[in-house]
Amino acid sequence: MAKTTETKRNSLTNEFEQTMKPVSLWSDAWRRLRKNKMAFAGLIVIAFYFAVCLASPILPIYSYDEQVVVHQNLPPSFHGAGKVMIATRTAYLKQVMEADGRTSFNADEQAQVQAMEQDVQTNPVHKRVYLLGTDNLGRDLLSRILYGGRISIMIGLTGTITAVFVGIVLGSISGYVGGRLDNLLMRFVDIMYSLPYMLLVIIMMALFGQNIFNLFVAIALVSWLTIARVVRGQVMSLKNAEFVEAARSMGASPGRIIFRHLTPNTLGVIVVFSTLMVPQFIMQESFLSFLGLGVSAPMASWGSLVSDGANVMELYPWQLLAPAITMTVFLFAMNFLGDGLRDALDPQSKNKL
Amino acid sequence: MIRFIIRRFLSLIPTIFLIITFAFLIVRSAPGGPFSGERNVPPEILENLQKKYHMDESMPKQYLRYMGQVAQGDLGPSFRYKDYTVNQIIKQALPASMLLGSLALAVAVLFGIAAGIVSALKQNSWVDYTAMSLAVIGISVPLFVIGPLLKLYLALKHDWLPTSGWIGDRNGWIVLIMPVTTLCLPYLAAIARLTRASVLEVLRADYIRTARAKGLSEPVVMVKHVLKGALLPVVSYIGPTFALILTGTVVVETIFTIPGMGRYYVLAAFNRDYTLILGDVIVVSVLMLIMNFFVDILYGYLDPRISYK
Repeated sequence: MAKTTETKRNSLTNEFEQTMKPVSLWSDAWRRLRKNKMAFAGLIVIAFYFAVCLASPILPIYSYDEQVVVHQNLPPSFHGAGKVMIATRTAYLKQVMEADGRTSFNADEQAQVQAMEQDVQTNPVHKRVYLLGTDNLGRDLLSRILYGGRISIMIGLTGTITAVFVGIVLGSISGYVGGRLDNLLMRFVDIMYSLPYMLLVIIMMALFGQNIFNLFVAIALVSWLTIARVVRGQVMSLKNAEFVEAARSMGASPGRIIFRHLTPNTLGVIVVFSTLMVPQFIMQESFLSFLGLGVSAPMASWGSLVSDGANVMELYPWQLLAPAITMTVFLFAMNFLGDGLRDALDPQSKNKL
Repeated sequence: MIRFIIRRFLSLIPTIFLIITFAFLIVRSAPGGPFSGERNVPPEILENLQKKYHMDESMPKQYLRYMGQVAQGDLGPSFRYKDYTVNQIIKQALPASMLLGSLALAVAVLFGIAAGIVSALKQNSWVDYTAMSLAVIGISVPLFVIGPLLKLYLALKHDWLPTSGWIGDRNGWIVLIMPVTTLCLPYLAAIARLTRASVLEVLRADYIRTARAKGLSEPVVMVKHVLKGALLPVVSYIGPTFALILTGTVVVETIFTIPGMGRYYVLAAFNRDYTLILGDVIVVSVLMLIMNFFVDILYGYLDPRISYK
């Protein structure tokens, strides 16, 4: 940087001599975020997910736990359930026919199809439309995915927010102060890492009752460990940098140095790490649900839907694909938003265009 | 530095002691007991069982007895697998988990760091977008979906690889391919994303400009300056991950029927197999403490600005 620019620079021009208004970190970040197309698209997708999941009780969809047993395992379709049911049945009967080496249906099969057609015409329940198909109990998959999204998104976000908050505070204090306090905090982290997590969850559920709130607490309990160690490493490497020394010589308090100078400079790694954690929590919840410690039936979560679907993926692939794709799209959006946020909040690009 | 290493190493001993104590308390406070699952046990037999495992003694006495045993390297008899001691179970199951875990992590580190560097150098190009999209898929598709899918296509449809088994079988080392691939994917993806973010940050640092300005060749700048500085968060991540991955992963072990530790870890928790849980905790915590110990020492070598004074 040329010396002339340095001396000429005041609050109204940046290093490229562009005039600028004094802006806060957040409005500056928001402006840069809006310019990043991928990140903004991610933001819109996430806002859409939030809106739809929050509004799912008032949306015109079927109930997530209503079982229509005759509508088991129907594939996704825009047509009424009756039509789909007959189509799947005929397709199956055709397979049987070909396997037997016949060229037409026998009387029994014809009677079956006819009875079904009659039932479809008289019974109004067959007018239901399953856009994403049904599961093995004849429940609407679309509605289950929306209701499952409420739980999964909540778990992913609360877990991540607690982890990031606790991790940043403990990690940066441990790294900045160092010495005995560092040793103490990090041994505590080691202890938490080593304790049998499954047992902790079982005990929590037994002592405080099995409900969603305790599930959140159980997941948040150990979520912050790795991020605390990562932040500590970053802070240790930055704490002897010139800008920290400058801040200290100007009389900034340790708290101010940690949270206004050091943490913003570790944001890149923190943001990437938190976007890695969201899917991790969603998986963890599905694992706990699978063991009977998480969300219990008939409630669903994305994780439990995916693991249920994985069992029958050869026969009814949509039961795996529908929740898996829904979840992956959300996580993609999360990642792009995360990367965009990182770029936007980057202290080194402040006031640049 | 030597003083730091010695002091840091000595602090591991009370930590291990605390871990075992906490684990003991937690295990004992869990509802139910190792014998509560068995049907219709007459009270006399239950009494004898409890006597055999010293469960009739007071809690402090049991604790002291257990600690004394552990100090001599004896982890006690398993409550559930009646003919085995915990030492035997761990000796039998740990090698398989360690082999699988270290191979998976080696693959993940190697390819993850390479992918991360390439996407950082070609930021916002199609290479970057492809690699990072694959990484998102790697993180967001659960192991219990990837594992069965691989098995379905590679083993059942095409018969290229054996469906399951372990290296002692007739198939030999080839059985490792699928479990290692499955297990390494999420770690590979995480390491790739962390490396990318970290390399991007380091690339802007003044010391990289200096290195380039003094005419160092690009490979030297990359390996000796960028990579060394950028590995810090990756190393922080790998330390504890390594300990956890070495001690077994239930999902992969179940899918590919691998005789490892992960299965025992979950089963022991559900069976309230007190000694086996504690044995698992001890193995995990020793590995964890050693890993984090090495990570802390490695910090000093990777980043000369870090000093433990």
